[in-house]
Amino acid sequence: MESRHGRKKEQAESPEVLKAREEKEAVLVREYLALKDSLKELIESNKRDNDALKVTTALLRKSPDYYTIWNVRRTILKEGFLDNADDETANKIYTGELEFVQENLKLNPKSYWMWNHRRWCLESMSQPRWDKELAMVGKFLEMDARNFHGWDYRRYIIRQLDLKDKEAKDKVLERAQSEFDFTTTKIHQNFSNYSAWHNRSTLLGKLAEDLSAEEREATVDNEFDLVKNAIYTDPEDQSAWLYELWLIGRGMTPLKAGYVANIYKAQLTNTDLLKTIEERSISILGAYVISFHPLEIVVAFDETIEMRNPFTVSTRVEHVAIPLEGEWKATGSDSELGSLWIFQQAPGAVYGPTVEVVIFSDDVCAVRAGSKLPAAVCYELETLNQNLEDISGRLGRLVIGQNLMYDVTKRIGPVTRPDGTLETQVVNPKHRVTSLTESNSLDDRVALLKREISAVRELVELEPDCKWPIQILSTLLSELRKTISIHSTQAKLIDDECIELQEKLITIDPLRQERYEDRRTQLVFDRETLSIIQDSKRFPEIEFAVKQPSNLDLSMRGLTHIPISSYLLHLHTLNLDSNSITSTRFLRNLLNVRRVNLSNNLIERLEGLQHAPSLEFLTLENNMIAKWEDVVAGFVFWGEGKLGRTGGHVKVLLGNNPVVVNEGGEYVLEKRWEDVGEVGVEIQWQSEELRLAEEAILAAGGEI
Amino acid sequence: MADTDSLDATVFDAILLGTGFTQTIVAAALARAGKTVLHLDENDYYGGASGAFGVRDLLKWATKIASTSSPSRDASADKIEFQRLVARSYNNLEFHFHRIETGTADTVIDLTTVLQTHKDASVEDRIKAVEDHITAAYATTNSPSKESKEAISSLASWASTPELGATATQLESVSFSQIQLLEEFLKNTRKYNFDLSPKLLYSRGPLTNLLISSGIGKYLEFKLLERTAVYEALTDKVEMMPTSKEDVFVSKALSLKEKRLLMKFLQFAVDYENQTEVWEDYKHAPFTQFVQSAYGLTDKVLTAVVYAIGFDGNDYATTTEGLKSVKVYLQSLGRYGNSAYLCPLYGVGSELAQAFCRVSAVYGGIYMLQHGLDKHNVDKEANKWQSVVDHTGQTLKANQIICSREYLSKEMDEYIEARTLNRNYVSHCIIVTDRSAFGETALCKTLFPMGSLVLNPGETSIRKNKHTVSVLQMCGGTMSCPNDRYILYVWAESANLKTDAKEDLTAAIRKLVHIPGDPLSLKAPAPKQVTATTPAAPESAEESKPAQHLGDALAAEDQPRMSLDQELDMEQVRQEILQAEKKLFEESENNTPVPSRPSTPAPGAPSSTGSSTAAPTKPLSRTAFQKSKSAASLSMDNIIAPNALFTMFYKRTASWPRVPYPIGSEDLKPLPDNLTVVRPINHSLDFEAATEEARAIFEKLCPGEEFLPPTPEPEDNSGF
Repeated sequence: MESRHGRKKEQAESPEVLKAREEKEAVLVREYLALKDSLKELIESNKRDNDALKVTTALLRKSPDYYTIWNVRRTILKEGFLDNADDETANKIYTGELEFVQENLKLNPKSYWMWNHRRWCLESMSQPRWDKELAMVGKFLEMDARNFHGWDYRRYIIRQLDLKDKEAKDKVLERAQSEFDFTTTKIHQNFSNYSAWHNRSTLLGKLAEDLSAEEREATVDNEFDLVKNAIYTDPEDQSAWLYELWLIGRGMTPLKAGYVANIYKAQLTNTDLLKTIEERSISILGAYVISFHPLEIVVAFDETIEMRNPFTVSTRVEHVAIPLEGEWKATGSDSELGSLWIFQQAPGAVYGPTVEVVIFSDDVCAVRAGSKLPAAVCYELETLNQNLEDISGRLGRLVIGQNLMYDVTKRIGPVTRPDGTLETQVVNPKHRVTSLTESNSLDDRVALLKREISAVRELVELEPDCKWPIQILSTLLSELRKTISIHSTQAKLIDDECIELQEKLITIDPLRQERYEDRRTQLVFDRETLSIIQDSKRFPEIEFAVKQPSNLDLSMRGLTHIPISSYLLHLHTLNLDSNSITSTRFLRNLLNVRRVNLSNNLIERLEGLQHAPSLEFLTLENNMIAKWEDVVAGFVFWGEGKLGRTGGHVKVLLGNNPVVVNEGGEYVLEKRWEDVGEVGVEIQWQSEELRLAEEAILAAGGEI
Repeated sequence: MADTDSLDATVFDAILLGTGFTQTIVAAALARAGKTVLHLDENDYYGGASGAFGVRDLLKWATKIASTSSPSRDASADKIEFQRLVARSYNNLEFHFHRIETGTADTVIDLTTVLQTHKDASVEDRIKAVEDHITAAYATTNSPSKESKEAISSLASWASTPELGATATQLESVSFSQIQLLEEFLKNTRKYNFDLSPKLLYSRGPLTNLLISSGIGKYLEFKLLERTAVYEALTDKVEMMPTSKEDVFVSKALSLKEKRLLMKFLQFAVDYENQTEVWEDYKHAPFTQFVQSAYGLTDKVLTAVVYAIGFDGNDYATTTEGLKSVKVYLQSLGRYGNSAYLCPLYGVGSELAQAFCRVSAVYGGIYMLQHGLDKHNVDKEANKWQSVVDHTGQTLKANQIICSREYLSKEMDEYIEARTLNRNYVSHCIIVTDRSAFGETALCKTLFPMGSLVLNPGETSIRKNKHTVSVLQMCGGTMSCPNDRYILYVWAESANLKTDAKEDLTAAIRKLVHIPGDPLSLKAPAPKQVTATTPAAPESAEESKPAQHLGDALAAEDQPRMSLDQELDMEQVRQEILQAEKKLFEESENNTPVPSRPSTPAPGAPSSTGSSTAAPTKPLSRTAFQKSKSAASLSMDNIIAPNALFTMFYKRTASWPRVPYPIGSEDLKPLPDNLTVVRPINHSLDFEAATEEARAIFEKLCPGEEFLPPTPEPEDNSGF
């Protein structure tokens, strides 16, 4: 219904046109070079007079984007004119500059340097006319309502004006209101305007401060109404969808409504409500001892974190807690980040029958923005019974095992810091990110989400092939899922629907296929691993279920990666046959795994193998590993601990990988390592026949 | 025009009679193609049936129509009876100057006695007597002026000569307010440009494209139509329709789902030619049926919106026609702003006609207005038109003659008459009001769908309107009336003369304005009380104008004028920034209002010799950016009804031979081959049919020639 950005579409060019343009451009290039020369001359001459100023004027008329010229001009103005000028003269000069910029802005309304020069003038003037500036930029936005330079400049002017009225809060608010109305006007004229929507969101935050709960609710409804009108008018317009997304907000992992209401509501002051908080809680899935001599403890998180301070490990000797020396490391070669953290006791350190691990919330920093450990967590590990046979039943070659876990007691609530202060639990009960749509009540949040879901769902029915409503619907559903127990039927239904939506998106928007596949992978993974986790006592956090499955079949699920590998900590066997997995890095977190089937995937390089100390059998047939180095890369150890001193064999089946062909034809590679302590890999080649024979034995359930 | 009516040359490639819209395009195209053209008009104005008049000229025109008796059987067969045929094509002509029903006392002068006593006197004496009677009563309290004398004399003559039929209700009395009103009208006569056949242009329709491609558009200035309203019978309300994406977004009348359905339909309509599978089955079915069944736009509001967008005058449009019209609408949207229609300034039809005539004159066309014509010479044997004889007795010859029906000889006219079976008329009404009928929306069209109005309220057998009644409100900004006045053009197609124009249209008018003395029309606005009750009287009283100027307070923000080269593009936008800023700074520095551009009247008519004096004046550049209307202007609540000050009704014949022809008429001898008769201007909203007709005529006369190629810039063309 209208041309894009109000511009006419350029017509296809004939060779003559192209040639003419080339000639024209050649002239421009010559002009530009001459320009550069004259600028150099100017700088070298060190002149600070009218003539020099005129040169810059001429240059800037030609090339306003040449920002050095602006700098030179300012220097000339300052040193040659302004330093010795009285107030009146100075103002005249600045006004002249403003007019000069204005004239040029008309030709080039999107040049940073001109807007910048304008700011310099106004800030240097003794009495800048900000009101006039506001009217000026208003005109610019009337010409092109989507010029973000204009919007940015407008916000800048408003900031300046607000600064002047620092004391008069009324005036500031009134101004915010009028700016808000301005965005309404612009959006009514043409709602495809990112700048206007954005400005609106910033202003709303400001205005919300003075609103009562009812008013805020009305405002929220009004905003949703406005944006829905835009979305229904043109579902292909992204700007409105982004605003809708902002309005929905990203909820933190929610808390039980009653819990919040009873315990924390009382503490909340008005200011708390105003903070824009983007938090979801990190869950600690569990903590386990994996070796007693030396003591090795593993803590599993449900997402990748960075350790800010080492978690506190102490041992109780006669009721006195003594810190236990040692080192924390994440699994994998980059020990800075990980979802699985391992403590290794320092050589020679002694520990008593009880070991305590305390993780304070500020020890943990999530890689994903907005995640936070809501409270300190304390684990008590009993070390009295060290009879591994008793604990784990059957031992593997490594002294670890899934049952090698003492029943740890989790404690929530105030925990004494090492310095003796109490860490109060900071729990944020809000369910929205934006200051506007936050609310203390989970019911409100659910009601809002349900209302939006039904509206967007209707649009999806009307426009089944439009990607935006489907994406937003999926986001909304995920938000809704955060408000319910992970094992509820509704959660399962939501997961199923979300997966379907991703599959639909893959077909209608193939350009972003990989993104949708990743999202889908996450959803499928969540669904398939439901038996591994459970709602923790500290709902909504999650933890490992009491009874862990030892096998997991994730074959043919279309997975592109393993989203949360720490979930798989306890597995013995993992089948990932026929997926689209590209990396084996997740193996580093599978401390217990014996057999992994990764045949028919897209793996190019062997990684993370060294941290899967129990691994015996890895099937990598029909992958894309092409180079020998990429195979060897999988066997580099870290540290001295038990994990390093692995032994035994790992059999890697590499049939049908390019590397097999490259390295000598029909052989199947079997890698064995028996060496302990040093990095050493012994490679044996095994013939195809032998491999098949072994497989037959395997299939029959026998041991090799 | 030369001071003599005699011509040096008397043989031309083409002679055109009548400066109606279609002929002027043909004249321009022919002259542009190098043909010698003589263009004559018996009227003293351009435009013929789509001409535009000031107050004095309109009243003169009406009186002339009313006083020309139609029967004149004694004329010979080849005689041209222009005045009679013009008068014949207008029926039911009547006009009123309404009394103002405000609180102020109005003195009524009774005329019955004076009329009675002079019943048998001569007309002149009777008029004189009535005039004296009124003057005697009026002059005691009012200072007489030139215009008041003229007003009294006009009223006296209307009261005294009821046989003229110009005023249906016989004037048995005259009130002071009527005299004052007429006086004011006469004073401002030049500020009015009443259109006899009001129309609009699609901003991307064939006519606009032609105006641009030929360069003729640069003679013209436009305003954008702001809104379209539709009357809804169920709610008895006139509602503004959301007719653009922005409106749809803001609209409160549509639900979310409806918005989507509507936008989806519009998106389809833009590209309907490539999606034949959707509408092919409905090709010949009514458009409304397609919209409802194929697109599921069953909701009343949606139907109304599609109607508001797609209606171009044809109440029985097929799906193909409807889609075509919706597409033209949608393509037109956004070319010059948030509107699809352009409204030329200074009266629609005559301005366009003059623009084309000017091109014709620049390329050597000879123009003579007020040129009486006597008869046609036709070679009966060859059935060839040979020449036309003018009032001076000159015989003017040409290879081709193109004329409108009024210029036909009696014989030719009878042929047309005999070939016409189904009659067709357009009922018109021109209303002048004291404020906008649409609140702050000044330039606006309204549609009353067929069957939505009861034409004869109170009677037992109800008659409904069989055709859409269209209303176009013009404001001072279009240079067709003073700034404190509004003109409402109301018109509708009509199949016969059984009902008069007043009956066809009054039901619609009642929904929009207060007609003094008509209890069924909107209620009269309460007398202005603001200044009386407000304590801050001194200041506001000074600013406020007399009660009848109340419209000023509500006067809509004037839309910027456009010229056709102001298509929205960045270059333009930059230019505008320059201007807007200048203005801004002038305002803030000097705090003096920037004088608006003086309203220069349209350049004079081109001369008959096509000399270089006819060089076109370029319109000045002016602000093009469109201040879009806020959501408030979509609402029709709290609008104060305007008073009708002046109304004029007439019913114009638009009958034309078309299928089915009367039985037996095929055997009649057809008109000469080289005679082209132009159709009467139709009732539709746009000029597209007439434009296409002109193109077809040109292509028939000059096969293979380019139709109105671009005119070179005048400076490149000093030879002319």
